[in-house]
Amino acid sequence: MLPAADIADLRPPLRQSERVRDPLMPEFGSFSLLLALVLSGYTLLAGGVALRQLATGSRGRISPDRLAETARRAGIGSFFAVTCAAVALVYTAFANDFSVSYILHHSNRALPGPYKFAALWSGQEGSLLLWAWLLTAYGFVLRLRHKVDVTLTAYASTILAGIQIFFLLLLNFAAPPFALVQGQAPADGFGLNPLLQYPEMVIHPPMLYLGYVGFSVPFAFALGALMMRYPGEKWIHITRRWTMVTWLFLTCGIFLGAHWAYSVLGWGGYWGWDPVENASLMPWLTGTAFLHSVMMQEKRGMMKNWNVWLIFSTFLLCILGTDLTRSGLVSSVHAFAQSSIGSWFTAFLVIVFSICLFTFVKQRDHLKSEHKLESLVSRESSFLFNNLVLLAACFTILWGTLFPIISEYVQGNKVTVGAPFFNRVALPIGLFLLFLTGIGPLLAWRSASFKSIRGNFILPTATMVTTAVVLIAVGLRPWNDQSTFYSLVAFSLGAGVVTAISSEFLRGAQVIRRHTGKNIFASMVQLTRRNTRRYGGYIVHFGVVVIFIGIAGGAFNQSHEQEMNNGQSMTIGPYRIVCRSFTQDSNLNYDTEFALLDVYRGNKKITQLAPEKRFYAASQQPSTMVANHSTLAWDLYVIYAGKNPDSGLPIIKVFLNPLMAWIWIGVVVVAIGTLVALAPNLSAALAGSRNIRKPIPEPRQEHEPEVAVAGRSGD
Amino acid sequence: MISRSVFVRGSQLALLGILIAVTAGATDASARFDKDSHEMMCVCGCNQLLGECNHVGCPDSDSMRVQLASLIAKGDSDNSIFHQFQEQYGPVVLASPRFTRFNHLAWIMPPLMLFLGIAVVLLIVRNWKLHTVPMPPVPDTAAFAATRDRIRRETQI
Repeated sequence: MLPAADIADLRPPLRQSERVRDPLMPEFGSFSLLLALVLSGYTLLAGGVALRQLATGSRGRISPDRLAETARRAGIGSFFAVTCAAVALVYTAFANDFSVSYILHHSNRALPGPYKFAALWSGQEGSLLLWAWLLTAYGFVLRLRHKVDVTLTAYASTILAGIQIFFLLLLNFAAPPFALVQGQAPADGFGLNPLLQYPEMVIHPPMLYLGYVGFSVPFAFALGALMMRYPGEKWIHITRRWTMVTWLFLTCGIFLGAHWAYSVLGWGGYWGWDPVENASLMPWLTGTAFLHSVMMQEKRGMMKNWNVWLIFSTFLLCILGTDLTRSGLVSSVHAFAQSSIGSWFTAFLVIVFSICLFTFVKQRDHLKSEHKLESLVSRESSFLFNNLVLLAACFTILWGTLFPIISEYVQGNKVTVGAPFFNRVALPIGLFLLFLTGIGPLLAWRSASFKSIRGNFILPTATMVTTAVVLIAVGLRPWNDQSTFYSLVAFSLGAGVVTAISSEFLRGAQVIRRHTGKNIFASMVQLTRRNTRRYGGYIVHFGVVVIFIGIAGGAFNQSHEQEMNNGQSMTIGPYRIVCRSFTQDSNLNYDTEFALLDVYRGNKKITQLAPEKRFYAASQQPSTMVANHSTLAWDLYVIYAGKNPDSGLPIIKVFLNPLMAWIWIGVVVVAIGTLVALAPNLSAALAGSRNIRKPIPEPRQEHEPEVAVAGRSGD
Repeated sequence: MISRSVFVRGSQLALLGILIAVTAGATDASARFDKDSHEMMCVCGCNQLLGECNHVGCPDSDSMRVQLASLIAKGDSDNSIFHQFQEQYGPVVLASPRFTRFNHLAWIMPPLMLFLGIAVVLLIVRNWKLHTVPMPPVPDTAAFAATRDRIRRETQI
């Protein structure tokens, strides 16, 4: 393998023109950001004045409607301005303009094209620009669709403009992405962090940011609705799709990050409870709680205070998480964590919280519940407990993340709160949540009778007990260690929840089958299309169970490390791994050492794996390229750990991770379920035109009160 | 540069291998090593568990693992090992707070908040139930059933 200096010598000499600084794009980008700030400022001011005039009935020289319209158009304009800035930054990356400090530090000439594009979000300034761009993009869609409700959208647009201003202030004054380097531009950049040179990193950050930023929209609608004392629950209907899409993006972003960590970091795991990971999980938990409890507001006019604070908290947690990780208050493996912009986020957090609190106190009489809970055993109470558990999980993560800071303040020394803490405290809460996932849908709105509970719970409970007994019979020993115990509980609960969900599907499908004569699968499809929200939700729950089963498999992980010469082998689980050869190679971007390993199961060769260790020339940093053979039963996860300098032989570390694929499959199921829930219901007219011989009643849960069923349009 | 770090890492891995081989007679040495290395952090600043830190050229993890293996081989108890590591590297080396006076709070607060939340929810439900006017019983008459069926037909999706 050639050292980095030699690699540099192999590169083609740079033409003089390649070194020449082209100031046009950086200046264009900077100007675009400034323009976006001005336009957002106008949207906030003009929008605020117009809404104030509309609320008080006063009039200025320009009518409030026209003023609000100009504010809306300025908001749309801000999207185009930020888009220009983002394009300018990507252009400078592709043009290898290393006069721009950000490009110098996050790109280099040999970097492949997709990663040059990904450089947009691989550092502090770029990721803030991506945040601002997505925010204005969401605002663009919101402002285009203003006719849904002109006044409410005007409030939301004005609030979004306030958030835009914060990020544009950061980009213009605290973390400018187009800052130029002093003196002559260097011939080449320092390169992208090797850990980020992985295909998933091209989509993971945008997904995550789409989630983070997306919560700004329901937040803006909720705050706007509260400010204007919006009558009824229409704002929830307007924001339902926004919230679900945002939640889906955040879910995909979190799991793409987990998959990236699993595939790239090479420690055999996927979730390390790092503060940045925690920061993404906290708003996901409160967002999930909001998606559930908002149904109570829609159906029963309950939990209005709670829902408003849930969405406020979700947005605030997005900002808090960013604050915690970027201010350097807590240590994180994420490279861009340490910076001086934390104080900006703290100030923004305080301002937003104050506005929320002030608005809530001023308008709280508008949030009076229309109904009250009638029974502890009802769908409403299951939502209450679901919310409670989700918030308890969120608190646990926040507490664990903040405890080192609290400890330093109180005891004078920092302690670490890492994976062992979270695994011990958060896992039982997660299992309780899994339990509620199963029983919630079995309970009726308002009240469930003992008879109906008995009828609906017998089968899932029997399945749970049977699963536990069978697993113990086949050799699972929950009394041996804590992780095996949790796994047994997760498998058993999972079986019970799947039974409960399946019985709900089957019960409904049977009714459709009786009326249409269709087969059971076609009936299930029609059932789902008739109430996409309810059955999409069940599919999401099913996906959650699959994820939990995958996580529970982690209790049975095995690993083995061995130095391997050509022809030597090692055995793990059912696999025998034989070292065929090991060698090294170089290209302009990196040097690599790798081993070729044949994998046998019995006497049959099933695959060949090539784990690598790379050393990137530009950044002078190493990176692991994991080789993974994934099946439904387990992942054979192989790492090239290094080379023994005495023997010159590669050290190979192998993990056998059971049920790992289930986690990723579960996420796909969750995504499918969310998309189903987002789809509109099959209309009665459409249903009537297709093979329906007589009217089909909505499949009724036997325990559910008749009147409640009659009025149901989706839950 | 890379060769030196690989050399150091390789030597440490070899030493670690010898130590584990020597202690293989002890029934649970490798299990203890695995367990204890997942209860401590690498102190290089990578924020990874000691048992999982895998950087090329990490200045700390290999020597810490060697130290852990030698302490296990010596027959030290887990508590004694954690104490020695804490003395040497500071409290941040332990992956979760020990059960000392203030650190108890770290462990108590999450379940406490959950139980408090459950109590509050139960209180709220009880309070709501006390203030709720019960619904009249559903009349079990043919006329009601007919009306109900008509409503269901007309309002179904």
